[in-house]
Amino acid sequence: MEVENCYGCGGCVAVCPTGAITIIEEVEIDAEKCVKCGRCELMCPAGLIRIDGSQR
Amino acid sequence: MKIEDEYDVVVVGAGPAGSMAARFAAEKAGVLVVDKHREIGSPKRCGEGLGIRTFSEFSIPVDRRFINQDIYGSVIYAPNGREVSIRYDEVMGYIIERKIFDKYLATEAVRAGAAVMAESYATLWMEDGKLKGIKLRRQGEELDIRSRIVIAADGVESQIARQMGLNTTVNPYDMDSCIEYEMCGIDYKDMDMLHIFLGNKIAPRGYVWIFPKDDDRANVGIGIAGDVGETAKYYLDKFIAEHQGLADGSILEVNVGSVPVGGFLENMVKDNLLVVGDAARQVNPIHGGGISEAMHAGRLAGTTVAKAVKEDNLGILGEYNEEWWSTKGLKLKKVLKVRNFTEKLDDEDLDYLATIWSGEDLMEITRGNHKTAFKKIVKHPKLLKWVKNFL
Ligand SMILES: Cc1cc2nc3c(=O)[nH]c(=O)nc-3n(C[C@H](O)[C@H](O)[C@H](O)COP(=O)(O)OP(=O)(O)OC[C@H]3O[C@@H](n4cnc5c(N)ncnc54)[C@H](O)[C@@H]3O)c2cc1C
Ligand code: SF4
Ligand code: SF4
Repeated sequence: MEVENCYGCGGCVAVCPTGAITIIEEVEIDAEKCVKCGRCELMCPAGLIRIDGSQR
Repeated sequence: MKIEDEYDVVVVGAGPAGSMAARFAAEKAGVLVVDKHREIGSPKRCGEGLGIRTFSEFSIPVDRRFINQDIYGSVIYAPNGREVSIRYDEVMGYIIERKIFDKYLATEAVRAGAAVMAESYATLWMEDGKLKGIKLRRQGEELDIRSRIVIAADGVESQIARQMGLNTTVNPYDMDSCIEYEMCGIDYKDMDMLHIFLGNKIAPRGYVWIFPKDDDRANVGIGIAGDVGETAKYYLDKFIAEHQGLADGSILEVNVGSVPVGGFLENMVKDNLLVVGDAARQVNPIHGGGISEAMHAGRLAGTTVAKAVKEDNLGILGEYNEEWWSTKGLKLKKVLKVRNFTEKLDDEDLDYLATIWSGEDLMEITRGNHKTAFKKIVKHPKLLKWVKNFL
């Protein structure tokens, strides 16, 4: 999964409990590691992340 | 520059923490610093406020190439608009140009003997549970670099420590979610002071800042608690729209960031890995500043590493932990305790405190010396009950 217009700030990476998110140039979310907790959605200062079926 | 196959020390991240660590480690060791960004110092993700003490503590010259504005004090605005201000006769800090400042620190590391490589993304190289060095991705190539010691200075993401098995995951409650515009063509008073706006409608459990870079130019930003429903951008845009003098300003730069304000990584050394700066959550829990903290930790880690390499005894790396928690870390723990108090305050409490606290009281609180200020709370039953635990 990718996130459009991402600033690469790393906030989502820091709160992800499973290490599913990496930023090399852009954010990439590994769907296999993601447990859909929704913490990254909550954290993003620009509200850019949408996780399908998240518990938020 | 040719990247070697092996170094004594690899530092991941060339922010203030990494560059300081590299500079001091390089006194006795062969050091490589890598950073994933194409340009060190950019994007800035920072209000760029730095106290004058940091300059003397690290013998940093007052160089106008990385200093934008002299700052004489601050004005704090309570939710009802009441101002608490403190102005000194002498300069008490600067608004710096982080892009140039961070490059200056990296330059100093190079001058001390370290090698620095931008546009290089690192992950830990582990074999059978042992740290071998790092794996580097740069311009489509992959390199394995062996090193005896790795310093994780990778900022808020803190994935290097995580790959080593340290738990650096932060709860959104304990993070500040930030956005900042560098604005120009603005008209605001006292452009030689920091302006801080408090209030749960303005910035829930955080604040809006105006940090002037010039008479008509400033970093205008916000940090709010990371678990709030609306975004930081929502609150900042609202604030700007409601403030004459800002609403018509131009936007030169947009930056987004997150600050781990709610607690520290307790154990920062595991085997031959040391964690410094934002990666170890070494941030002032009241105001979220972390440049000075990162530099302190970097110097301490770098010095410890230099000693370990010189004595050929990696068993002493734990001294970094001990030294930190008996000096700067100890102070920060006090500030964290005060945060546990301030984050409970509602607007009415903040308005009340603005009537009894002076600017000096607020400065002391951010330094972890809260007793004098807290003793002034006498006529407020609810706050009195909370404050009792702190005196
Ligand atoms: C909006 C905002 C405003 C702020 N305002 C202030 C302020 O006014 N004053 C103040 O003192 N502090 C402020 N801070 C905090 C301050 O910016 C940080 O505390 C400080 O930058 C921490 O330094 P650091 O070296 O630990 O990390 P950073 O400066 O974040 O550096 C980490 C580096 O590691 C690199 N990196 C990460 N992962 C990898 C990898 N896998 N491989 C290679 N490289 C990697 C990154 O590219 C980055 O360059 C602010 C923070 C934010 C977000
Ligand atoms: S939803 Fe949770 S697990 Fe999935 S990427 Fe976001 S923070 Fe990580
Ligand atoms: S928190 Fe938002 S802006 Fe920051 S890296 Fe994650 S998706 Fe990008």
